[in-house]
Amino acid sequence: MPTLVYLGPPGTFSEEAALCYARGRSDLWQCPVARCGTWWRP
Amino acid sequence: MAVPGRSLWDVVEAVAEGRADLAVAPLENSIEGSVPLTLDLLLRHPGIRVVGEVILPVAHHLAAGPGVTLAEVREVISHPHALAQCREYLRRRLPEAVQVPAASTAEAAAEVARRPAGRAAITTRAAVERYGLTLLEEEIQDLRDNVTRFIVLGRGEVPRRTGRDKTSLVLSTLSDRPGALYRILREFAVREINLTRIESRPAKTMLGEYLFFIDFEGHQEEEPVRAALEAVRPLTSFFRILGSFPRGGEAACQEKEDGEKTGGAELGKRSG
Repeated sequence: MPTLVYLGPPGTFSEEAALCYARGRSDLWQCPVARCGTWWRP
Repeated sequence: MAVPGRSLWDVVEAVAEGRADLAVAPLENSIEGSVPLTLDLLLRHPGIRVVGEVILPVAHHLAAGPGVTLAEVREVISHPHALAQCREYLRRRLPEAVQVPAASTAEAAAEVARRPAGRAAITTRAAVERYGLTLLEEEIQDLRDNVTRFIVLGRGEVPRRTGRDKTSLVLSTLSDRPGALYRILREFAVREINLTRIESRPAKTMLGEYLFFIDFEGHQEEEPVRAALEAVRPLTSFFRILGSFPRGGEAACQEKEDGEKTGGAELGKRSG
């Protein structure tokens, strides 16, 4: 799976932007609960 | 997989040096303007390109340790951009408080959690929860519609055309003479290409020498953008296409969320 790096630590707006972008790409976004629609935070 | 970097330098270099595939970096904010370091890092690493963008609504919250009240706050910690985006609020509500810069809004929350007495952080909702803080006041940014644009950086091929793309370009004019920039911009205007942003940065060579960062609608592999770029290139002394990528936007993100959501957190509830 590709690695997407953001300005940390977790909890920043950058993390949120990274997750938003990842969510639009199936190769980046993999929600641990299939299609639950929630944000997954690493 | 999303992983945190320690600084903007680390984030961009991780992609430039191949330690990460993609990086997300803040580029501009609707209140505070551009993030110059991101522009400078883009120039510093010619091997990376802009492959995407995310436009994120930004809500700042004032948070403190449990039991700390607004009246007790003597120190407000946050990223300098966040402090600036809440300038009016701080002047009105906490005029005596010392403003202390932090590396990020999340780092500010962590710092307040470590030593809470008399301190508060301007931070995200996610960080409030993560570091066990209490919200003192919500949405304290000076403009309600506060938005930050992030760019996504990568090394691979140019993203394919989607029909709803933007292209980023950086250039300097060929000579310091009247109309030099106008002649460049004219090539876009005559082809009805809509510019979405233009910004100058010092070229770091001598005083008065500038680079111009230009964003416009369209993809570098489609007409009339291709023709405009061909016409512009000879008018410049420095010319680099930073990337073509699908246009981002709050609406696009919301649509995706709405389309996929069957429950759980909504965009409006996410870390502000």
